[in-house]
Amino acid sequence: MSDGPAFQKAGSSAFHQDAEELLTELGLSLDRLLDLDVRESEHLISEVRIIVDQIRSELRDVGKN
Amino acid sequence: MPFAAGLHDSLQFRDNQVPIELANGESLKDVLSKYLVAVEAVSAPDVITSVLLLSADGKRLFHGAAPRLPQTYCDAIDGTEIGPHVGSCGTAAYYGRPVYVSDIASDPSWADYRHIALPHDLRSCWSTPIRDPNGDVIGTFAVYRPVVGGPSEKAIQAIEMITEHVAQAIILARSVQDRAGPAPRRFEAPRLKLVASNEPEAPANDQSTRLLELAEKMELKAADLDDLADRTASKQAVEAARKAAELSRQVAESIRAKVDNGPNPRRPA
Repeated sequence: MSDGPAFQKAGSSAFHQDAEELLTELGLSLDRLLDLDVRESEHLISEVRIIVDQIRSELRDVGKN
Repeated sequence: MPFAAGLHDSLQFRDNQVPIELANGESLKDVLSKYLVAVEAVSAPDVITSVLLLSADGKRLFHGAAPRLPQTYCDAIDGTEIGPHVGSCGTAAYYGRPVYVSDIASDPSWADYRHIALPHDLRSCWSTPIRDPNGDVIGTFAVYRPVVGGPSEKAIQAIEMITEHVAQAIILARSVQDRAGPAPRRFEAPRLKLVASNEPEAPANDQSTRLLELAEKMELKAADLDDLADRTASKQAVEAARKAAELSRQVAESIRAKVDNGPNPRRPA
């Protein structure tokens, strides 16, 4: 990145692992919420999942750099 | 039939959310992704949808949204020049009419592209032009399926309805973009501005900035999950919503903490 990566190489792996664990746990909690069939929750869950996917994608890109 | 009842209600719900989301600075890609997620939620499980956006010169199609298409596939077709035999979408945009390819493996339009699609189990692709109020093509909406076959009459009606709603969202997003001032003629609405208006805007393509934006969005969704918990009677559901909200905040905080340890893209040196 031209302005210097905010994600330093040092410590990035640990951060990615922690972030991935959090995202996975969040995904499981969304699954749980979806299973409970709470009215009006489906759209919200979908929106959160989109953000989760986008974060994963960004983290992958950071990892490549 | 690949599309179930409830599609109309889902699209209307989305329509109501779009002005709010755009006002909050969400990108066109985010808005379109939510439309497609909503469509797929009321569709057969094997339905995968996508939106491609036509370039300003009307020559190329660029990725708009496709939450369930493989990234490698999206990357491979991003920026493809439209033409008379350019898959379903490139051909649909070129002729300005729907192109329903029932068998990607044998259709001549896919001769140069089937090697990209078939490994992902994309066997049929029905594409419909998205038009602006003047009737000009501004993109394409496509339905991919892992089976060979064309759309039924009901499916075509559903596709037409989806395409109209998506067109409105694109037009609204672009009008918001136009009001916000000139921007590079790409296909996203202005990105979420996390900084105060008198501060310099962060670089649009900076990964750290994008992650901070996502952290901000995640926090907003955490608040929505708390609201959901407040409105829910079931104890189990309250606990699940609270847990999801808490984890969403942890994700956001984790990103912020990491980004803040590096050079802050919002504060130029």
